[in-house]
Amino acid sequence: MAHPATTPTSFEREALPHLDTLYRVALRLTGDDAPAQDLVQDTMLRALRGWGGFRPGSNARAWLVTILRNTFINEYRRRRREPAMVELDDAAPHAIYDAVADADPEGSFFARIVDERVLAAVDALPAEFREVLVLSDMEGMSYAEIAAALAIPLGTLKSRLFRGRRLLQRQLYDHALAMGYISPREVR
Amino acid sequence: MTERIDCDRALAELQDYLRREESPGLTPLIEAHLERCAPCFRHASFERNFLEMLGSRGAGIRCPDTLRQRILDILRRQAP
Repeated sequence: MAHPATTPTSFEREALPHLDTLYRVALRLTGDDAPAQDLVQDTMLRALRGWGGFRPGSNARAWLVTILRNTFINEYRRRRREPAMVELDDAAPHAIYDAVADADPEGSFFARIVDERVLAAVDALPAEFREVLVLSDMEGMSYAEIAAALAIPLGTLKSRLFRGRRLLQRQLYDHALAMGYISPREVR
Repeated sequence: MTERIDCDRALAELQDYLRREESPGLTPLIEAHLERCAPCFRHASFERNFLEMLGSRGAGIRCPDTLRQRILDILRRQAP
C-alpha cells in the first residue's frame, strides 16, 4: 500500500500550485501555446506516474521542472525551429553597457520595450541560454535548483546565464535603437 | 578589511551578486567595491534594472483554466 504522503491527493496538493510556472516555462521552451499545453499535460502525467519516487518535503517545483525539461528535449525539441547560434565577442563582455553608459547608464530603455518584444527576444535565444535564463531570471529559481534540475555544474550554469543575458541585452538594445529609444553608438 | 577585488572581478560577479548567487565569501568584497567605485556602481544599476525588467515580464501569464481543468480531470480519473 502506498505511503499516505504519496497518494494522488498529495500529488495534487504538491504539484498543482506549480501549474502556472510549468506553463510559463513550457511556453518559452516550445514557443507556442498549443505545444506548451501538451507539454504541461504530459509533464503532469509523467510526474503522477513517478510520484512514488518523490521524497515528501523535497522541492516539488524543481522536480516538476526537471520532468518538463526532459520531456521537452525528448519529444518536443525537434518540432521547434531553433534560432541559429549567435557569435559573442568574449573580448567585450560588457559591450551593451559600454554603449549606453553615457546616454542611459540606468538602462531605462529596457522599461520602454513592450512585453511582447521582450518575450520574443527571449524566445529567439539559443535553447541552452533560453532555458537557464527563463528559470533563473523570469521564474526566480535558485542557481542550485536549476543546476540540479538540468544536471549541469554550477559553473556551466553561471556561464550560460552570463552569455544568455548578454545576448538578450544585445537584442533589446538593437530593438531600442530601431525604435529610437536610444541613440546609436558603436557596439562590438 | 584589507582584501579587495578589482573592477574586472566585481563586474564578472555583478549579475550573480544581484541575484544573491555570488561566489561564497565575496559579498562584502563586492559591496565594498561598489561603495568606492562609481563606474561599477552605475553599471550595477544598469544590470539591476535589466534583471528587474526581465523578472516582471510575462510573470502575469497563467496556466489556462481549460488546461488546468483537463489535468484535474485526468488526475481524478487515474486516482484509485
